Order: sequence, then structure tokens, then C-alpha cells
Amino acid sequence: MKIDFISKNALKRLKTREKIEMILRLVKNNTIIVLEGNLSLGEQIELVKETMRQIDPLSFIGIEIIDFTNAEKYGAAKNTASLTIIAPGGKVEIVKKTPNYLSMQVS
Amino acid sequence: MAWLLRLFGRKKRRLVLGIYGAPNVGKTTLANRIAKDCGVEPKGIVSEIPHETRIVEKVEELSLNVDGKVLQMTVLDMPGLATKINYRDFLNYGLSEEEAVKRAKEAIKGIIEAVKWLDNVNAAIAVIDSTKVPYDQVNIMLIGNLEAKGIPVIIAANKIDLSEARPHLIKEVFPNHEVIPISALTGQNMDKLYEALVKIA
Repeated sequence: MKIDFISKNALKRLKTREKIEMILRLVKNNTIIVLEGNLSLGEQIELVKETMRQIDPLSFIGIEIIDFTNAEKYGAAKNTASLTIIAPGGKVEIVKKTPNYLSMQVS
Repeated sequence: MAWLLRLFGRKKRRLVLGIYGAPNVGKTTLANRIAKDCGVEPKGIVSEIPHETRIVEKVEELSLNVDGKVLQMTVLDMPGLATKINYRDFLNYGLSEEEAVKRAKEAIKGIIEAVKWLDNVNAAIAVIDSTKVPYDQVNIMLIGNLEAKGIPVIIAANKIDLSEARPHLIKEVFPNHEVIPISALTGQNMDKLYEALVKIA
């Protein structure tokens, strides 16, 4: 399993559609992506919609999205994450998550 | 027009109420409970197999008297939102491979449909299973998107009839939202939920 880190600057240049295409291309290629912020909740729901369109029960079951964001920030006014982790579906499991600590099991 | 309404008070609007949440959190049980409390025969099928509701189930023309105020609503029981669908999960419930793949495909369509409906509801209940850790990104995504669209949302911390329920954790994760601990199964605290719905109508 590969892990790719993508900076806020790299994401800034991309439109929502381009971000989603890139994310799904990488995840389908068995890559965990760590985004430095910049995936809004609106973009996340678009990502879910596009993921559903691309699911193939036999080869691609979907994704895991994990926001590592202080809980107090949740809401429309501040809808960006400090870190967004996107992984192939079923490949990561949250062991512990608090506003200041995230532990994941990768299988 | 809006300032006139503000000046002279507003007639309660009919709610087009979306019941949203992850699979198996009790959305259909809640929709059935609301229908029953409104004197309508519940029709939603409740099952332990995830993604039992795979199309948007609409119950129209519901009316309920809440402390002298009439709450009118259409309730939409949404398919469970998820970021992944693994047909193999359904095999554990005794479904054949063919049935499981069919269910997965229908669940996928249901999720897309539920997301589309976010543009057509004027109020929502986000149902969260209070026996589980509430960090599921689906909840955060859902509530954030409803807020961003200006749709009032009430969080129902469901399943408080179970001993392992920890609704306070949901309040901790969503401190700026109205969280109402309920049991859709037993009807506990449904009066509080209806009072909250009257406020947003």
C-alpha cells in the first residue's frame, strides 16, 4: 500500500472535478492519500457521489474518508479540514480519534 | 415580503423532512414512529441487513398536534449514506452472491438519490447511532452540507434504549447543534423531537 501526501498548494490549482478525478485514480490504484486541508465538505459529498458512480462490486468497493479536524471547527463556516485522509474502502480502520490524535490500522 | 412575514409572524410551513444518516442507525424505525404518531400505518421495512432502504420512501400529508401547534410534514426516509459498498458484507446475512451484488447496486443508486434530495428538503433529521463512536465522516459531511445549504438540521442521537448508548459523545462532537437523545424504537423523547421540529417549521 502506497501513501501519497499532497500539499495545499497542489490542490489549490485544481478544480473540484479535477481533484475528484485525481483522488479516485490514486485510490483505485491502491494508494492512501493524505491531503493538506482544502477538501471542503461540499467537495467531499461530490466525491462520494462520483465514487458511487464508479463502484464496481467486483473490483472497487469505494473509499474511506477521514477528516482530521478539531471537532469545534465542524460546520459550514469553517468547512475545511486540517488533514483529509482518503483510502481505498475497507483498507483502513480508525483505532482512535480525538481532536488531537488519530490512530489508524492499515490492512 | 420577508419583512412583512417577520413583522406579522410566520405561518408554520409544511416540512419536507429528510431523515438522513448512515446505514442501520434507525432511520426507518424513526420514520415509522413518526408515521404512527401521526395516525398513519407505518410502511417502512426494518432489517438488520444494512441498506434495507434503497429508494427514498416518502410519507406525505402527515399532521401532528404538538402542544396546540399543528406540525405538517412530508417525511422522506432516505437510503443510508456511505462511502463504500462491499457486496461481500451482505453474504454474512445469508444472501446469495447474486442477491448481494444486486443489493449493492441498488444501495449505490439509493445513496446517489439521497444526496440529490439534499437540494429538495427544507428540514432534516440526522440520525446517529448513539451506541457507536460518532466520528463517522458521513455524519460530519452530511450535517456540514445541510448547514451550508441553509437547511435546519436536528441531530437525533438514537438507540438510547440500549445500555451502551452514549449520546453525550454526539453532543461533544457537534456542540453547536441541537442534539436530542431518542429511542425511535420505544418512543422515548419523541415529544422533544417534535417540539424541536415545530421550532424549525
